[in-house]
Amino acid sequence: MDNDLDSEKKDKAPKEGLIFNLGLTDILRLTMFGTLIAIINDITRLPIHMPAHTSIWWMGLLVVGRGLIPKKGAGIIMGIVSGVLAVFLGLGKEGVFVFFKYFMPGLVLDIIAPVFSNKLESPIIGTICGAVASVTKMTVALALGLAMNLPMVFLTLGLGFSAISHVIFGAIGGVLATLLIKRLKPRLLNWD
Amino acid sequence: MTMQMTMNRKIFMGIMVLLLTIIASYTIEFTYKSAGTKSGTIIAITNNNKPAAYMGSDILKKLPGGTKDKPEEGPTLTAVLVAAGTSDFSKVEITGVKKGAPYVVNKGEMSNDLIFIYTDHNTVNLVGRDNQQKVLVEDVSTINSMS
Repeated sequence: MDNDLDSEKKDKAPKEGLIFNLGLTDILRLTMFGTLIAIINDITRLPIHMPAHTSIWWMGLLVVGRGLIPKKGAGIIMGIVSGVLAVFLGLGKEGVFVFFKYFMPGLVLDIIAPVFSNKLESPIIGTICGAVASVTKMTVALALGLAMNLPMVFLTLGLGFSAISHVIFGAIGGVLATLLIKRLKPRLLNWD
Repeated sequence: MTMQMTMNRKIFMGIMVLLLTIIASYTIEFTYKSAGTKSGTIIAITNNNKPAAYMGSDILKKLPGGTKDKPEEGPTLTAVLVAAGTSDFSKVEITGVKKGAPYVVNKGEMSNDLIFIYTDHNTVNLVGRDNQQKVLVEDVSTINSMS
């Protein structure tokens, strides 16, 4: 009887060590979140004529993914998947370099979430993480613009407003993510 | 208690990082804009002294104008005003970096003869197409359309 229970526990235990000590199931789930980010960015056209409004679902999904799978490398996997898809779907005007715009927020989320003990279900922490990830996206877009020799006027004028907009929409995404994490996490205890 | 304080401090630091990013963005924007309009590398296009657009010589190069034979020739004054979305005006005042008396063009006098030419220090001068040696406005910094 005990042996049966032990073997069942072993079967249900996450298979660690594939990438960043993440099991295959986690990677598949993170791939799903990454895919959702790229697909929703491609098909959604909200009539909000403000910069960074895409951060609502973009950073929202990133924070949800990192909150539900609080393991090292989760943000990186989501960033890589969404970045590669963004390149293949031809999103943005940066060509293949659009990859970095999708990858860097995931990487930054992986760095800052452990700083806050991975408590992304807390509204204030979710808000900060979403906003920081959104600002990272803006910084990468600025860096890519500089690297691609875009006119400085385009890059710098309106930068202040753009920063505020990125923070606000990223924060909204973060708050919505915390609500989802709170609702979903208790139901997903048997994910592994 | 200590753990809670540490978390509060981290939250405070996170908010500070976001605030500093916003402040830095506004500082970069303000510094670039004020330095650019002072040196003429950014041209402020205003409508009744209210900002309508900002353009640098790198943007003017993307507007139609100039030929392969004369790469120093830029777009016409009319093309720049159209690109800035300014069409309803009675006269246009063009001012240079040296802030002398503005060069005034009435709507009836507008033609494709007034063009911008690029300088070697990333600014533009306003000249007549037929007499480019005579500079009408040197290092243009402001184009103000008056209705």
